[in-house]
Amino acid sequence: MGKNYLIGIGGTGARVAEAVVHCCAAGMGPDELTLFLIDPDEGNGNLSRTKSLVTHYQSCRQAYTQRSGDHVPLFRTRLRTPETLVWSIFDEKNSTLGGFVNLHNLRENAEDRPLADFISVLFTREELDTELNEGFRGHPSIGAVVMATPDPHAEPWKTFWDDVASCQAPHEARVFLVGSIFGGTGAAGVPTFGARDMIKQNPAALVDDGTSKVLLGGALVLPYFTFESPESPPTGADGAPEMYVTPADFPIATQAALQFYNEKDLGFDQMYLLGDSLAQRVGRFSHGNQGQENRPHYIELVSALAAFDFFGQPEVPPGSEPAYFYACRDGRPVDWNALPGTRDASRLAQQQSEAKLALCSMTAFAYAMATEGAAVLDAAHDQVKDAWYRRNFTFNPRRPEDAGLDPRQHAQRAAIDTVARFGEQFLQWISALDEETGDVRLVDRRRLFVDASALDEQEEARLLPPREHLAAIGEFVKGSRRGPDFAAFLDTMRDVRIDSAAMSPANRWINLFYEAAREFCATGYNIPSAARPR
Amino acid sequence: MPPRRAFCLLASAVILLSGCSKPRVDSVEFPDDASRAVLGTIQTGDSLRVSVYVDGTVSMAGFLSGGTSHYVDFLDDLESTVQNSIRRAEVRYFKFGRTVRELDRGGFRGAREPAFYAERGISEVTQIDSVIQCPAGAHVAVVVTDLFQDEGDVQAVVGRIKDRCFGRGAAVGVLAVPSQFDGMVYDARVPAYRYASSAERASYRPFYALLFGAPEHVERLHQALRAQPYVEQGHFTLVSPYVVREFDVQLAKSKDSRHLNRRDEKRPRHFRFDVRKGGDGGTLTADVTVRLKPSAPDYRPERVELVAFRREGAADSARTEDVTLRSVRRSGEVLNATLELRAPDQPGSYAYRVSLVTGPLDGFASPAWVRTLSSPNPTATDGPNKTLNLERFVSDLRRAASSVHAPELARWYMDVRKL
Amino acid sequence: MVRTAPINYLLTAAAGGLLWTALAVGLGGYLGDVVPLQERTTEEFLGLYRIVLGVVLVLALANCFYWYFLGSRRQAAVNLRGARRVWMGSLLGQVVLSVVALLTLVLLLQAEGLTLGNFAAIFAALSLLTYVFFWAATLLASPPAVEFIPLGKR
Repeated sequence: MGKNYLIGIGGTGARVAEAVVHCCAAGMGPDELTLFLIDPDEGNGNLSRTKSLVTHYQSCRQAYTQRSGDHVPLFRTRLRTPETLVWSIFDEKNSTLGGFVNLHNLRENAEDRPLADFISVLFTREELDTELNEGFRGHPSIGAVVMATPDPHAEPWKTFWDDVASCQAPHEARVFLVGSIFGGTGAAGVPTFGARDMIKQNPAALVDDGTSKVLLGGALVLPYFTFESPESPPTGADGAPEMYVTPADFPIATQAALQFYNEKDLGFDQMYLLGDSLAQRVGRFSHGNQGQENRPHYIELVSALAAFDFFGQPEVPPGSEPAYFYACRDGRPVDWNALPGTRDASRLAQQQSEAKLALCSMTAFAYAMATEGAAVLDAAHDQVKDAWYRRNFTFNPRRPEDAGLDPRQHAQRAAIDTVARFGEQFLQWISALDEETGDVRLVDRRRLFVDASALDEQEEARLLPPREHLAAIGEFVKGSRRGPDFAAFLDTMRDVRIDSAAMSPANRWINLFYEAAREFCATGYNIPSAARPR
Repeated sequence: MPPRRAFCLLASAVILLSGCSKPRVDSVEFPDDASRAVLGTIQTGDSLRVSVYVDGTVSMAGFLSGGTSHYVDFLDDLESTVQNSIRRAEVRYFKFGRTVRELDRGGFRGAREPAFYAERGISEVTQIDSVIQCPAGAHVAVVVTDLFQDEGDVQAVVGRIKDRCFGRGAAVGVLAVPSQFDGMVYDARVPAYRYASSAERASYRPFYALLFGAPEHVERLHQALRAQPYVEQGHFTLVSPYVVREFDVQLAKSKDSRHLNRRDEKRPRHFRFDVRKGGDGGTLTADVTVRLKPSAPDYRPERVELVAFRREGAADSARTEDVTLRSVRRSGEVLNATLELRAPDQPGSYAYRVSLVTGPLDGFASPAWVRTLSSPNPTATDGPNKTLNLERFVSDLRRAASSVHAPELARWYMDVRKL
Repeated sequence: MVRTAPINYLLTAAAGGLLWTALAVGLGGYLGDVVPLQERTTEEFLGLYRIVLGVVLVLALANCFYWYFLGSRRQAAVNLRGARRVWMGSLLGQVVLSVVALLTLVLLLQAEGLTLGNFAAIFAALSLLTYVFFWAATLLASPPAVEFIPLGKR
């Protein structure tokens, strides 16, 4: 079996990776996927979120081990990560470009002085002296230098090259790079790792006949959001002005990058160009670290879909011409039918429908687990009279030998909670795609979460109690007919049959909720699917 | 348990339980002949033969009383009265005394003449027993006489009547018609004496028309004869197996009869009871309404007896002591009787036919008029116009009739189920 | 299938009819032979007994049908606490009904002399036709949403 690799570069790469992980949880990803990130800004909020999510996903895979059938794609993708999930490029903190290239020593050494002078010509003093622990601050040229020579014996590259080495056939390894076309790390990393000798034609990637084991793809994410520019330029501790990027820089940077990609003979076999003109606001300005945690954007979801399309395509013969893919919207609204799901036009509608079903099912699943599921688990067994529960969890709580059948038993509850918490994160992510302008018409946040204005400032977002907001679960999908209410969801749960007697209570619980959610969405929202659950 | 199996189990249990109830045993019943047994035959048809026997003895001559008397009127009106009341009536006449001789109409009309009562070979002795006959069918014999009777005669006559009439289910009606009298009174214990009635009705001396025949025909003829005022003013008593005009029975159990339950029964005079396990019967209270025929003598309640027959299965019925009369009390037309029911030990269904009958001895009281008109020893100065031993005659008649067939006052039927 | 309309209605009615038949005819036949009666005839007693049984059965059936109706409504699964209250209230109501029916018979038959054992048998019949029947019918034929509300359902 081939290897699928997703390398997320920079903040955008991290957010796309986040979207990929969520979509894998929903069952949209390939059977197996190895993922790592590249970002010098270790404290980056987006990166931290993604790292945490990947770890959580893997915990869910350990918790949810028994699938009730092939029609339950939940956490289907086997997500691997190298020992080091993030290649932070620098070994030391607070590295600078000057320090990275050892400029000082070059200057000191007479033989190397011309090189030092050359470097001084290429880079400004600012660029040479700025600490890069918070990214390249919109200067991809810096990144191109520091990322040009990754150590193949250090993680995550060691794992990467070991996996490539284990492949035998051409294009057996499918490597997909994701990063922004503008900005800093992504803009530097994508073309850098896209160079022929970095990955595609790296000697370690060649088959005996000179063809590459690697099918290299990439997603270049064009400008898709905006943020508030600082009122005054940021300054450092010494009062000197610091490097930063503003939304005004995006068009120029994008133009320059596209020109570069057009002229440069990179090693990509397939390229996806993605962007959005809505300029969604994603938060306040921050040049890096924790302050840079942008809200999820639907383009990241689209990028994830591009990655899945890349990983899922048929075998590509060596020597094929490079392919470029782009997708446009027909109008301002972005709805389920606007999501570009596949390069194959004949399968577009079906793929869109399956993506919609997967994401909506995951949403309903997560919502029900976090609300109704939690409430039932908090109640004693004898107090729960719901038919779906009684039919699937039949035991006597007073008999010690039946303790293992109780989903409230510690280990079982822990497994369920692991998945439930992931589900809450998924809900946060998919709800965040919704925006106030109403242009993005995927999931209606107001049907899942309590109105933020009703919460205290420090209070975390709360889910709507389904028994008090019966209609919510039938109305969270935008652009669909109004679905049935929570009572119908409970009826659906009641009718789900999990026939395996050997299944653990936690797995049974998860399967039950998921199957009900999927059936509810398929029938309630009328989302056709090639394979409906039995 | 799967719902389907539970339902099948329930249905099976239900069917079994329903089948466990005791099947109703076909009751064995008596045919309901209460009306006929108590009331007798009502239908009479539209024809009647009447045979009139006129006493031609010398004692009867005084009733002519110069040619105008109720006796003469009676004889004159007899045929027409009958003919007018009965659509197809046939009347024959006879003269009797020592012997019996049929008369034609002309001969019958001679009864208004004194010579009628002086015919040799007839007028010497009144042998009533020679004309005592209770013809069958629609035929009534009317014996017109002055009913002299000493003890021996009474006994003989009553015996003859018992054999020839009562024994065949016939009845005897004694019609006393007070009439003017002017002549010799014979047949008393004292030598014959002369008696003449005055204009006072109380001084009249009665003659008698004894009516012999089927009870319904005797009653019918009496009804016809009553058209005449002198007959209406007279007195009549019927000695018959049937003395009841109508009756009704209401039967209930006493409150202390805890082992006895009453069952529904729509038919009149039919009652059903259950004797529950652990008991053998109970006490019943019967309210019997008895309306006597106007011409029947009154009965003595203290002489009333209860007769019960029991039938079980296909066997014939037999007299039984299962039902006994504990007490009886009369209040006007209503007899309140207390009965005891003791069912047999064997569980099963039993049918009873219960009758309240008049006592065979002194079951009836003599009518007042009989006592008034009767005398054990009429003399010229003491009850000269009374009839010797009339009361004795009538009471003996009644006793003789009861000895053959004691009249029933009421009859009813009981089905008793011993559980 | 037993728990879906109209099957559950029909089966419940049929079961009630069968039960009434067994108690009215079967037990009735027995009672008719053993109860002491002072005023009424046995048929009058049985008629009264059967009418009372019929009335309580009709009310029990109505209660069952109301439960089925409630349980089959769309919102049934959402408010199981309310449903539980309704079911318990119905069960208690049936208990009260059986007692009221018994008292009615006691009053109507007070002059008859029935024993305690007789009334106990009658109360057993009334119980079977009221709260026992209601409990059993709802246990077996409640709509799926409220299937586990009746006591004893596991």
